[in-house]
Amino acid sequence: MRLMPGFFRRGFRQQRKRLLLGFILLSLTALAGIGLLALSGWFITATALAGLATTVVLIDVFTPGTGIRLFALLRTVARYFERLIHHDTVLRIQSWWRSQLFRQVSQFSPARFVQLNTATMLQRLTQDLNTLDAWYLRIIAPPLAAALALLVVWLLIVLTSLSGHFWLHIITACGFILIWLLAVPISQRLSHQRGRAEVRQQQLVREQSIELYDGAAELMTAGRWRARADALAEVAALQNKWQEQRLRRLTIIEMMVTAMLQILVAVILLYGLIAYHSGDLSLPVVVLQVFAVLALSEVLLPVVEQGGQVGLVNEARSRIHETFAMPVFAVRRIIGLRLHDDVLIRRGEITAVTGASGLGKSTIANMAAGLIPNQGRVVFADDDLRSLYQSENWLTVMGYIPQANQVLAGTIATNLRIAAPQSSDEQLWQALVFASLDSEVKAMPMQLETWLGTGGTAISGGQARRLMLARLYLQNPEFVILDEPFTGIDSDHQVVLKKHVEDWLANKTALVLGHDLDSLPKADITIHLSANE
Amino acid sequence: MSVKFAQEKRYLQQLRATTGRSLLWSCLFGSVQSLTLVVQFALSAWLIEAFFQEQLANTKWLWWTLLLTIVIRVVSGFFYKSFSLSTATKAKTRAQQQVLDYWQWQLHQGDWQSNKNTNAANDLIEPIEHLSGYFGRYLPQLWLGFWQPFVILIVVFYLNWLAGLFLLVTAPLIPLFMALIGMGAERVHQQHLVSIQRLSGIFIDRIRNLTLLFLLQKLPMARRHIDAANDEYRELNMKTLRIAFLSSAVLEFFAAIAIAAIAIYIGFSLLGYYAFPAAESLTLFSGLLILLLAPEFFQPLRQLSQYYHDRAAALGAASILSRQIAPAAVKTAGEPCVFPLQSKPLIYSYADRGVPIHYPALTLEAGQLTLLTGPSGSGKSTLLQLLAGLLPGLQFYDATTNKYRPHGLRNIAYLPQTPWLRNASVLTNLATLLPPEQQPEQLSPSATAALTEQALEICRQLGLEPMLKRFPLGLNTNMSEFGAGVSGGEAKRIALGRWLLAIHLGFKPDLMLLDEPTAELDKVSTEFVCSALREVKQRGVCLVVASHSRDFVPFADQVIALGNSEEHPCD
Repeated sequence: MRLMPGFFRRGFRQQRKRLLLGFILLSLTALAGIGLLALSGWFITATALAGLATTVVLIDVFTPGTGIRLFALLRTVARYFERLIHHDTVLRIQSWWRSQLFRQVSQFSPARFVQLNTATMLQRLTQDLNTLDAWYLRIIAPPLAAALALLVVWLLIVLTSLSGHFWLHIITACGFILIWLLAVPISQRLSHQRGRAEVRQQQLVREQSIELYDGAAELMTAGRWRARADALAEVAALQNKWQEQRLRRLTIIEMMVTAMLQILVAVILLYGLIAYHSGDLSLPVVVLQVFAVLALSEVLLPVVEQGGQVGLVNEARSRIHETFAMPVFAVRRIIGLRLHDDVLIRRGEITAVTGASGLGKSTIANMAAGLIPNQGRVVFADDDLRSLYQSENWLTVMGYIPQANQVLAGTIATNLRIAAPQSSDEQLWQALVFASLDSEVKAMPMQLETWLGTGGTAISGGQARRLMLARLYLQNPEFVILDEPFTGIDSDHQVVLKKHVEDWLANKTALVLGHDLDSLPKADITIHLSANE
Repeated sequence: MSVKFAQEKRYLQQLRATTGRSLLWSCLFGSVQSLTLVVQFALSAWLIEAFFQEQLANTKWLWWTLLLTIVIRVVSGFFYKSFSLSTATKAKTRAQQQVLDYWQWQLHQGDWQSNKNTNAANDLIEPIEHLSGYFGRYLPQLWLGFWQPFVILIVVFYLNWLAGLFLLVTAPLIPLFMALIGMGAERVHQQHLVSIQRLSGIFIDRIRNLTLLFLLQKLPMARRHIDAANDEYRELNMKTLRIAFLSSAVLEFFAAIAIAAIAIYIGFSLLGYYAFPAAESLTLFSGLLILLLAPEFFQPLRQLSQYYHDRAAALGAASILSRQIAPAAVKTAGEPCVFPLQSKPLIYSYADRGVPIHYPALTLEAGQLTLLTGPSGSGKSTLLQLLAGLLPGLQFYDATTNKYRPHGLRNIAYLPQTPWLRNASVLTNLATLLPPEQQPEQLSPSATAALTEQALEICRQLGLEPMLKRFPLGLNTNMSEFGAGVSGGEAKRIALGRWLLAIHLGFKPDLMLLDEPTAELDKVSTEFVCSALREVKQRGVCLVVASHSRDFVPFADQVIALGNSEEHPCD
């Protein structure tokens, strides 16, 4: 299964109106900055001319004065709201992406869930999603605003000089187009490949450092650790180098943009002063034009730097698509060793499967739960049970505690109510009593509202195990699968729990798996897996 | 605040010292860039003034100088950024080196076993990435944020003291207001810190728990959790941002208002209708120049405030990285191994565990197998780690000096209890411990074939052939794809096969230490492992095996039972 194409673009499209408002504010900020400098230049020159005149010249000083103050205020206010709106919108878009991603992932086969649940994958997903909003905010919007600013300044020059200055218009137009091309498409093209390589190199650094860390004991005693560490340092240095090269390329472009802009300013100044000398242009207008072009650098330079992220963003985007398009391997999973018997499950009875780890107990549990295809190892004695297993209703009557604890980030109540949303607080406490977790939860200051996971209380493995049992109790299924249900629980609690679970299982059908019979509730049928042939 | 980050600041300071002169060069070029900027603006204003006054005699050289200053400004600007970038790269490379050195140090301290944290590998990436902005942007800008306003202030004061005074007064107001607003934002942020932390993790957490949610048929409910968390996250964040953005708005406001006020003051002064102080010193030249310089007075400060979060990020990174500095260098050169190896009796205790373990004196001989027995928790694995040099404390007798000296052996084959499998092909996994030039990816096709033959031999020796038959590509099958398809016993034998391949290809370990090599193995596989180890023993390797099974009793030369401190010589 894949993500729908154009997934990320759609997130932006959801927020069209907000983005448009943000864009307008962004452009206003740029134009107000240009207007402030240009109008001030015009004003000073005009007043200087008037002050020098021997005859009394009447000029309106208040309109430009008000204009200057207006631009100054507009720039501040527009910038503030632009940032506010853009940040708000980005968070909204991120929220939409996450929600949609989760919906799409929900439709995957359960075999894919396991694949996503690795530290590397989750870390990558978080990082990639966070990179993605740069696509609009840094790569699309600023170049558009810059183009608009260039156009407005060009129109300003045309309108203030009008006909007869054909060459001025042509030179500025050509200069502006060239500068924009350099700042946007050319700079993005030059940094694109480097950016992608940089992200991929980072992935390599990650993989190698995990290897170095996990295999440290063996590598160290073999005397190979330092060589590996040096190799890793080299890989990391290469990533640093590529990043430096990409940023240096951007610097070169930034400086070329600066040079072209400054030379254009000099040319316009030269042209304007000569025209002023011959009486074709007024001096205030010349200063206005020059200052307006000078002010453009504030708009143009950030565009280059921000556009330099295009490679990073594109790599993040294709990596997310890749993550969700990976082939499923779990289906091809093979139990390493032959079983002596198939696991036969009868209604109303408790079947125990025992054996050392690595013999495929968890695989049998997963088959029985229906998480992976049943290769005929799990057999149901009753027809109605078998047909239930094959139907969609299976999940509604089945409860499964796998080997690994599953604790949601959220309160204890959330963790319990996920199994039975309608439960009252009283029922939750009842479940905690069943799992003999009640006294510990009572001792917590927030009790049922205690937050577990990131930014909350850390609970021990044994407590997590008992929480799983409490959850199962609330779910109250007819068919129960328990994979090493008491692992990590200390012996005192184990005695109590075993009794509770045995009583609770009295009228149910169950499959229980563990190292030996001592670690399991009392069973009617026992199957012992053994590797010896 | 300053006390709070003392350690982090020291760390950054120490990193900065290792970057050599590049930061100095970058500041130097940045200063040149600022100076040429002032000259360029002065020349432009001067040209306008010259045309205004109709004194066109000497304008030609002004044009050429203007062109020259543009060139200097661009070139120095390039070098400014270029040196900043190399500062960042140097600092990052150094920081990475330090983390690796720390890992190595940790390996000899035993910390590594107890604090093995899954996130440690990440420390080489994210915190170090966060140093980039600090060294590459913030630090160089810090100097420029002082220098450029300073130069401009002098020029403006020279031209007109009132305009200069205006800039001088606004300059300290900016950091004052920004600090006040920053503190407000920080307070709001602290209020919601825990909630924000919790909410931001919900999405990834629900992805992590997909199987649970699927089994309980609560996927739509989880999606509602995610949506609610996202909305709340956004609202809390915006609360902070609304205040935080004010601080940059203050800067923008002062910058814009200062320019506007200066423009209006200059304009009215030039007009001459109103009597402003210091108005008589203003000309079109000085007026235009002051106007051009005013935005540049604020520009470096604006940049600095943009880069300020780089500093925060670097301090956060430093709090992680400053704890990862090796207190002492690790001696890498090994000492020669002279048999019989005699160790001093040792009492070892873990910091977090109560009962200390008593180890008797050991005598190890080349070509002999020592079996460690005892119930679990009696310290078998710990002794192997002590012998491997992964825990400190063990001392060996030195015949030349007639004294005990700390463990300094470096050629040891150690097989931990939990096998380590790499995310690579079976062949690459087996070749892991060979020297770099013998790694499969470095070899010619014929040499690869020879290596493959050797690896197959090892697999035969360990009874791994059925596993290879199962794999579609045999030795070249990637373990990541089939990682789940390998049983615990097979993983164990692959890890052992690594050492056997290394020994076959020339690695001569002084000691070979094996932690439960036959646990989880069936009888046939156990037999394979035992005969392979018998062969290693015949090569003259000194073996120490920790095992609770009786598999090794038949060919053990001595058995040391831990937990009751008795020693049984066997032959």
